[in-house]
Amino acid sequence: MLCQNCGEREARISITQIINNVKTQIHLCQRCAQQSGQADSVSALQKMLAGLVDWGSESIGKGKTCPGCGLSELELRHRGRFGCGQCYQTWEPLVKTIIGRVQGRTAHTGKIPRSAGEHARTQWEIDELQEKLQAAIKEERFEDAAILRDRIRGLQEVKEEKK
Amino acid sequence: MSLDNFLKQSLSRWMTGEGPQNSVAISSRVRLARNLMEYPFPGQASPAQLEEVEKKIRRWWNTGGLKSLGSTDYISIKDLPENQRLALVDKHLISPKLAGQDYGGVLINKDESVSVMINEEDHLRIQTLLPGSQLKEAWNLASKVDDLFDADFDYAWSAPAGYLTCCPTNVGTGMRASIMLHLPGLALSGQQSLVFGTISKVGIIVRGIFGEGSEARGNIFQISNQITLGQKEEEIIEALNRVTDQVISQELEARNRLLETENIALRDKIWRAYGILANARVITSAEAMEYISLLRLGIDLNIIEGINPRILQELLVFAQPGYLQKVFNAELAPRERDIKRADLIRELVK
Repeated sequence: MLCQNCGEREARISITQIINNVKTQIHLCQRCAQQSGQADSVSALQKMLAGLVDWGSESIGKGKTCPGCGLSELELRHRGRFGCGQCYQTWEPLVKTIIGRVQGRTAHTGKIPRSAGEHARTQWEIDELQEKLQAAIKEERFEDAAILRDRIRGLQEVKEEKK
Repeated sequence: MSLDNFLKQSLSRWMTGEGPQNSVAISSRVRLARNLMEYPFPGQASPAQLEEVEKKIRRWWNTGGLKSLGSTDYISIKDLPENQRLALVDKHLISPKLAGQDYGGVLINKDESVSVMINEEDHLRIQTLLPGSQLKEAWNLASKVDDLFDADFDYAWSAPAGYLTCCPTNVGTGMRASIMLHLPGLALSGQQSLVFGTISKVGIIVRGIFGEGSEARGNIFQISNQITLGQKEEEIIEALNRVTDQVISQELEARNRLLETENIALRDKIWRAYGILANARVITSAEAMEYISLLRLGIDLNIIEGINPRILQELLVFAQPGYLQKVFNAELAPRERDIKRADLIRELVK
């Protein structure tokens, strides 16, 4: 069984907690168990048991604050919330770990805003049209496919010109 | 104005009881979290910055930013008395968090299918609410509203994370899509755990409408996506729709099975529920929800006739403490509420 906190190492320690006759068991690896014990054992465990986002306790630059909004590392860990868009860069290695832990993946594939820049936006539109093109071909809607293909070519030219 | 007319005029579009698969699916909701690039998120912003964000959006709205949605209202939270704030929460148009703040606002369109909260946890929370099973339509509408803002504001964004949000549980698409289902058949046959089991495996969560876990009041459950990043919005919606269709067909099967195997016991339960709702003089919210769920099941199974199935949606909203005080235009102590709730229900059931 893998550690329920990091999901990476083998779980070696089982902790059983009974609150109001409700028994909860959590399995941790040596390192995560130690870390939760070193930090604030009760609150860290409670967070884990409650299934909340665990921000771990690896330090990421002592005394650092986000230049975008002034959020300190301590506040970030305490609240579990970012202060501004720039926080995502400021706390970079931690952010990636946390997002991976919460979401299971780290790269967005959906809709893109105007602020992402024209290049990214055009690429996204091309990807969307490609999907529609594949569907059209599969369903033998060849007239639609031809129109889609022309639109994709048009966008690709726009993208090349702006390079 | 008669009570009946007042309530009829107070119906949001999602409460009309229309829409596909409406014998089980109550409403479909999509919420998008968005932030403006040049300001800290509301939790970290100064009062002056919060005001600036609100002013900016308000000015944009004033000059026709949302014109294509038809007429919309801007409501500033601080201008709203307590019971009206709660009434908006009961209608699912704003969150309890926004209702508790002394800053922020909400934009609402005429049929209340679109609401945009300003300065809640994120600068913008775009929400669409439609009746029945219409997640795809709700997403399309939300995306359209999103495009209107996107045309004039620079969103906080970075690759590869996507739309940047205050909480890491929303980053990526910023989208939470959820569908509200009425599942009395599964609950009565003790099978709701089966639904919980199948769903929790695929990155999708189920919860009872007024609480976590299996203690769903009125047998109303909400299914939503847990993961907001790494999948396209349409893929998330499709996955939810697949699960929803499965749950709905299980629910309909369970109802049929109950009709076949426990016909008299089922009719007895439903008619007793009707008896209590039609005659009670004092009723708590929890008790009311339990019986309204049974009453609605009776209407769906043609056991009870002559009552609009919409009664479930109506009482889901109007029988809540906040809305009740709005309906009777008075501050009510808990005991008074239970009496007024019983009055209101008798009126709607007769």
